[in-house]
Amino acid sequence: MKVPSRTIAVVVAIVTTAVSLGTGVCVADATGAGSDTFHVSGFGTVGFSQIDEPAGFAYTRNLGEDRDKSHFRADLDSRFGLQVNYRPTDRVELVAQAVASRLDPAASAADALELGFAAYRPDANWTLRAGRVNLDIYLLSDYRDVGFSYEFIRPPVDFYWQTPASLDGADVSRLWTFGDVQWKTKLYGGRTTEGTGGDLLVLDQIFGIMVSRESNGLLLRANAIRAKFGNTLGVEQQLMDALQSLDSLPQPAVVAQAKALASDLQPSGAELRYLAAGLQYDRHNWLFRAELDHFAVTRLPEGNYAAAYVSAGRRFGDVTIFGVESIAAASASLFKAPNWAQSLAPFGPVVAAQAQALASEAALAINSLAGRQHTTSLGARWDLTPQLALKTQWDYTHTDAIGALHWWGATTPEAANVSVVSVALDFVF
Amino acid sequence: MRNAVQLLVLSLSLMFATGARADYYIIVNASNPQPALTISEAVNLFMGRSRAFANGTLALVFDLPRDSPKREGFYRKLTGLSLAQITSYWSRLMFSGQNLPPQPLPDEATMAEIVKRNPNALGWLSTAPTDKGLRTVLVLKDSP
Repeated sequence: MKVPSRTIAVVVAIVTTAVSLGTGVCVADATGAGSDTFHVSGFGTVGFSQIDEPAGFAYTRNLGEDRDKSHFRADLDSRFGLQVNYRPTDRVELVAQAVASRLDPAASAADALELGFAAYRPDANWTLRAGRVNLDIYLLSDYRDVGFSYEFIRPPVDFYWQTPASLDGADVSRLWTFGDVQWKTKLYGGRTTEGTGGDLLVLDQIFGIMVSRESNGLLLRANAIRAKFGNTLGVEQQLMDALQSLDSLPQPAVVAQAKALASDLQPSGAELRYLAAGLQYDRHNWLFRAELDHFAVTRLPEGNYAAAYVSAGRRFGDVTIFGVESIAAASASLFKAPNWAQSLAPFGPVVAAQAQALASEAALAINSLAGRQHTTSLGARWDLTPQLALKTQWDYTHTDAIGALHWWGATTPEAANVSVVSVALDFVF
Repeated sequence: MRNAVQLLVLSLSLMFATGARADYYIIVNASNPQPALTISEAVNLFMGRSRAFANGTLALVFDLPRDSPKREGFYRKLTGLSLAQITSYWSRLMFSGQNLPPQPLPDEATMAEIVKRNPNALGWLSTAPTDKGLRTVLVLKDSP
């Protein structure tokens, strides 16, 4: 498994720091005050998957992973995470968490740092945090790397694929407890990035609110977010530069079409409105989850998107069996490239052909936003010990003729079927 | 001879009765103003949903080590969950940076000593505390 060396360096640095500071174990101090200072913990997954997919497809569990097109893979779910908590006082806490996994080669070292924040708790119910904090938009989004904490081998990919896990900014949360009922609300703001290179998703000026209610095994959570796109969406800068170079052509219709295409490919500054709601029930050996979200982009309706999933599981002692049905669909229809070859024929066959190739490339980039896919999953989890679980899962995904949403290499708008069989060992320590 | 057999039977009955019982005593420092805890208050404190006693004082919650054979029974009684489910629950809170699990202490003697010395401490024992510096706020009784 190729892990960026900088990722390894971050993890090694955290381990070394933790060890040198006297790792681990939270022990009551000699005075009996009982305040633990350092707490080192970790998690990991060793997983293997057999992927039956059309040639050219590359399955990833989220946006930032390496786009390996192999059929048998050990890097899809395998990862190792380490976390250090430092509590100098009862009210102050510093937290750092790094995760080593096989990321896209263009990923930066900072992508390995999942959490890195300072928290201040003026009392038992208020928490203020600043730094790289978790972004709990969805039920599993802020601990999606910790396989031991949920029954699936990976959170439903149709739903979680492009979810940012952390936020560079700050949040403030308040807790209310009324008997068995607990309400929590959180306001947060900042910036986040997910993915790499031409597929980097940058969201600036994020402002969001989360409200949750938990009682007797039933958790309800809702999120509303407004943010601004801070970059291009799924396209190289040179494609937009090439479209803008057509400004000099004495063909007003072509120039207007080129400007419209460039605008569609450059959502920077467009506003994102994001709504999500989730339900989780875990009681009497039954486990249900359901989530849905809606993602709307001003000035770029091709970017509008919705996804949902439902899952049900039943525990039989240490074994849990489960099933999941998920769907993701973009509202965009297929965009047809303008016929510039005909409009620009008077400028000669070479210019006309180059312009037509540019139009086709731009249409392909816009159509990468379109797609619809749904997945059926069945699986089982066996808790071997209180810190070790063995899982197996089968996923069957169908992508519609409009194209796949969450598959690298699936740019050709055609229907396809993909099946993934996985086995994983999850642990925490 | 008959009396000896009766005594043996009685002794064995008591032994098995005692062995089968697994009550757990949730304890605080004797000076803690919290008079008692309900099950849901105890669950909230031991599961990190609440950080304070009813009067707003931050609670320092203690546990036995992860490999203690008594933890399974305690958490089953308190929450109805297995240790794997408890670990899974805490891994969600811990690795999303929200909270840490109760601080583990080496054994029940240390637990009693730490709670006796700290007015904000909350812990649990598998036998009723006899030290006057400790007070039981909830007994998790074995089901009949």
